[in-house]
Amino acid sequence: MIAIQLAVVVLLGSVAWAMPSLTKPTLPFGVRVPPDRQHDPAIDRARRQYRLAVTAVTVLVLGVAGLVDRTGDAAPAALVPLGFVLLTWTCYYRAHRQLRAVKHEHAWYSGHRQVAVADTGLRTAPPAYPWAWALVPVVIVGATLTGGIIAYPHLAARIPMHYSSSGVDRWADRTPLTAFSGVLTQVALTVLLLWLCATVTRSRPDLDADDPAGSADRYRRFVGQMQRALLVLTAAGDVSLGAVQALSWAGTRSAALVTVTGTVPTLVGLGAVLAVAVRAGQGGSRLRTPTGAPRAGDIADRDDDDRWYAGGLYVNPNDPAFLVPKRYGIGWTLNFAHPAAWLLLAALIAVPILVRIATR
Amino acid sequence: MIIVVDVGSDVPIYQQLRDRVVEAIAAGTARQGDPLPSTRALAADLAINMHTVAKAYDLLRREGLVQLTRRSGAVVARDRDSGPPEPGFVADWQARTRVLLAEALSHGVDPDTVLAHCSRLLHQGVES
Repeated sequence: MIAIQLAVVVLLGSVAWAMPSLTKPTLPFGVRVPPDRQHDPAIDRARRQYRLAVTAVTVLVLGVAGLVDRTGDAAPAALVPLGFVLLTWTCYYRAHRQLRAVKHEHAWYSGHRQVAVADTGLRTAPPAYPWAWALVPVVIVGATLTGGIIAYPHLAARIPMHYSSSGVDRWADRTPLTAFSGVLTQVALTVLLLWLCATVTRSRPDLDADDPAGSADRYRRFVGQMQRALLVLTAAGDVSLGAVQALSWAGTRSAALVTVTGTVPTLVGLGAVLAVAVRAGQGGSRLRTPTGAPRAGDIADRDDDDRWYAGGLYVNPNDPAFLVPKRYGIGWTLNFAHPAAWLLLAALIAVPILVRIATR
Repeated sequence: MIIVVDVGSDVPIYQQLRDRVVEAIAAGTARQGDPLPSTRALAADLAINMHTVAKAYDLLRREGLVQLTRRSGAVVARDRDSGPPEPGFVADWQARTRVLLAEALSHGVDPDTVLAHCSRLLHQGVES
């Protein structure tokens, strides 16, 4: 158990360390800067200090996790990743505040023409949905369901529903709902992610004012790669859930076996998403494209810092978009002034609770 | 078609949107029959109000450059190869040209410079 936790902390630490290189050069630490400021010494300094702090936090948390493990208490051990995420977020937020202050103090935006850029081609001829990739998770769910229907008459009267480190800690009488709870979760996960893959093509790209055509091209490739990575993650998550479901049908009592089969495929799927994130960068900012060449001059992306709160929460009632690119990180986030954002959040919270109540 | 709007400009955004579409049609990057994004999609991409886009599309519709249908949304209605202009267009356009040229002359721009500039723009298909 401790080995998995330490691995997670090291992985998250590496992602946090690498993140300043994966985001757009004109959005260092979630602060919008004009293209001619993207190599400013203040940004380099903030990045160095941030990376030093993240390294220190990672080492510190690894040490604390080791100490907590010796006490053998499970409760504080669960708090280790949470504490780690909070600490690295503090490192980010400090750099964010620092850069915002420098930007205002030295009036980085004065004398710049602030523009908004759109490529109508992304709407009138959007990237095609990767149906072949979407078929894989659907087939996995179908196979699990079929296997369950065949096995159902032969299942034991009581089915293991939940595992703790000592083994099964919750059993339930065999009913279609309890026997197929894993399949239900698979269906919910698959529907959500297939829908998300369709929605991201409609989300707003963060195009570069100084290279609209090139950045539109990079964004197209980023969306295509990210959709495929998300579908690989969906398939991997379905394999995890399906394997755990099969183990529970077989009446397995070993928590270790369930933990390994439940996490390994999902981690492989997360690896695919991470690989695309590192290779492409946010919005494709790390990709190289033959088209487009940065235009020098006074042109800059619109300074929209005041629409972003606490370094990463977007609230803009004037913006009809509900899914927007993250400022700091890879992928998309919600416009919290949009009702659909709250609906999606409510669905994300309600579905697992409903599945759990239904299978009680 | 790449659309760039200057959010700090004195020119209203709906006017800029209309101008960029007219330029794209003149440059041949938008042709008769080409679809334009829905008002919601274009507004979301530019992070501006939907009514601003609707206003620009309505302006283009009244000028006969864009057709708005309930089924297929906004579609480019004509381009350079769609035949002669609607009656009355030329007279109206000439009146606006007068003001534009008067501005140049009253600010002391040499008439030859004005002509050279106009001829260069026309040959480039008014692409910037």
